[in-house]
Amino acid sequence: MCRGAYRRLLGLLPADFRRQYRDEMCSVVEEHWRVVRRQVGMLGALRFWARQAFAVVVAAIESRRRRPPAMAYEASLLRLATVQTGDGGGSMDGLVQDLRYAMRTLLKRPGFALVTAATLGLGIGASTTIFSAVHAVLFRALPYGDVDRLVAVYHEDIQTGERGSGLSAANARDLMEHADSLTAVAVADPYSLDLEVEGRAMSLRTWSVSEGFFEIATVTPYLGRTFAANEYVGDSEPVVLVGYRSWLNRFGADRELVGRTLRLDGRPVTVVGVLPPEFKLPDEAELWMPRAAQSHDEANRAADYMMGIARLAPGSTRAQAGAEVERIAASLSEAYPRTNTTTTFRLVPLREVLFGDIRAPLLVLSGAVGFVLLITCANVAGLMLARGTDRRREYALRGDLGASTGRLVRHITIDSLFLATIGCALGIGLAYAGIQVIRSLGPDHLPRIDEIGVDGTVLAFAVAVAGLSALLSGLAPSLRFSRPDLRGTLTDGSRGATPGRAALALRNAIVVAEVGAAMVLLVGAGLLSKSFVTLLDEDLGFNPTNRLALQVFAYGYGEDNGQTRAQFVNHAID
Amino acid sequence: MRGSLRGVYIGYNPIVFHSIYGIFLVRQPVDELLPLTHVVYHVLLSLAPEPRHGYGIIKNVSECTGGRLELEAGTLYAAIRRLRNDGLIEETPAPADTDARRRYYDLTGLGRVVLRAESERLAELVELARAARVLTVPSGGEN
Repeated sequence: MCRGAYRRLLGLLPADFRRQYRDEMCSVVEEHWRVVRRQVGMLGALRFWARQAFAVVVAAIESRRRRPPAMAYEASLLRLATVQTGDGGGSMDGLVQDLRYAMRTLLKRPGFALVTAATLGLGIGASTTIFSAVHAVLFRALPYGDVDRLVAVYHEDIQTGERGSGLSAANARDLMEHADSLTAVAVADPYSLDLEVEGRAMSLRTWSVSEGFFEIATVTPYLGRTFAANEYVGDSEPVVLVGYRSWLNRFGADRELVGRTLRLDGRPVTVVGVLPPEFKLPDEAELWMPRAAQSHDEANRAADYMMGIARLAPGSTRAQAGAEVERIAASLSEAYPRTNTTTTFRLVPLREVLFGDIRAPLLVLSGAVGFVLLITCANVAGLMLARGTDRRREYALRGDLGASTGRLVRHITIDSLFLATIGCALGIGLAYAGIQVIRSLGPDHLPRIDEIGVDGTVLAFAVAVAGLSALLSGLAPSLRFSRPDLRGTLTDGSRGATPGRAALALRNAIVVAEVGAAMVLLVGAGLLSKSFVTLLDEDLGFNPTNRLALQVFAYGYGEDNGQTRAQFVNHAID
Repeated sequence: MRGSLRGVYIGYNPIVFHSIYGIFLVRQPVDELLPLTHVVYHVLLSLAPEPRHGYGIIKNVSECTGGRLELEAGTLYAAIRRLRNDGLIEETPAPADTDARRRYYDLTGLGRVVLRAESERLAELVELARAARVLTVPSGGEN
């Protein structure tokens, strides 16, 4: 593999150098490698090949520099002429030639290359950063089986059309019994369990989930198992599942935790498993416990504070299921006139429930970054145009020597691709830094913020953006300089640097148009960022300054007695 | 007949030129070529006793310098190319009992003169260093 790469790397050398020594160099390196390989480890091998590669790059640059500069230009033109008449410019050889030519011309103007690559790097870096956030939050596959068939179930008021905050346990049970288009319906009840550690109690966020919840979510536990059917019964032995993060932070990633007994709410509870890291349903908590049907469920049919979740049965659509649950709601309102008269059910895709409020701001932000990327492309196109105007004479001469329009376009595109490659590397570096900034900014606004990172998809995105910006920024110069009517430029003024009047007017027009476009894009980007800020600062309807929310859990362990608790709360308020 | 003669005469072939006129006219070209880079000097030095192939040069230089100078193929062939263009070394037929696929290189007359001139220059430097009492050992160990 190294040998093949080495041979390809030798393509950087000037043609005569390659012709004379390529095969010999390959066999010498191979011979050297055979000797070295026996003496060095992995690191030594890496060092060997890195040194060999570096030496080739140095040789390629040095052997070019040693050529007298006056000859170089004519020589390269002559070489181009032979290639263009020789193979028509379609083969890989021509492509390598273009690549080497692009490298050479860019090395000659390092300032231009640096500015262009840095500009591209900024644009690519910004868009990659935002993409990684959008990707992690909105598009990455959720670990809940076929997530598009998962729905959240809500109460809805028939008269006002207002959506409730969830589903009640009794209604969930009736839906489960009667809806054929849903395989299962379950509720998650927000709860809190007190963990006793060395005499002190700590309140742990818990979801108390009804039977079928984990089957609907199709979760495979990280350790142990989920709840068995008999554990959802009221008088069964109490069990609990631990969330991954809680397992890491609170229980020290102890693999022996499964099977152990914790003291929760004053009674012993057995840990049966640990949930996988990405499982956050309905959202992140420390514990999940089975919820048995309770005596007051029936009376609390209107209590819709629990999260209802269901999976569509195979073959049924959300519309069919929606119609069916409405029919069931109608029959329930007859059966339970006290609680269900105005209640119907609404199915909402789970994805929308989990990311609904962050979706709009994130998409708006993506739009803003898209605009920034366009500005970048416009700027780079401007830079390339300016340089192309300097190289007008060369393009004209190439045309006269027989280069086809396609060949010239390819040459310009490769130039910008080469710059974009450097820009891409810079951009990925910037994205790494940018993600750190996002993470340190506001975890309140972004769900799954800890999952934002550079992965294969994000890298692919960066490369695609780089390619796209190369094409976009190469477009203007391509259109401008590949036209066959450029022939005149050879006679128009003796040197390429002093353009005729027509060319000057065109260049001015390009600059004016470019500045105009950049301004429009800048204003657009500004407006978009403004609306993003507005979206995040929604009016709460009350003044939150100097107000405090406090949650108190008062349990009477052993002798649970409503009156004692009421007394405690009253006492606390006084 | 006349055409081919003109071809030989007009085309500047450094090897032919220096091997014919080199011995008498070398002073000026040699001065232009000095000082040599240490890579070039070591390559010429390793070819002084006998012709070698590319890997042979790498091995010899490494042995002579006690492993302090490990030439990479890229560095070596950049030097070989330059030395051939300048007419200091030339390709020579492989010795009878060796791998015929390998290319062997040998010093030209000019190459030998240049190597000698550079060595003399270095020796003068060493003398200067001795005179300045930089080197305490009068002879032997140092080079």
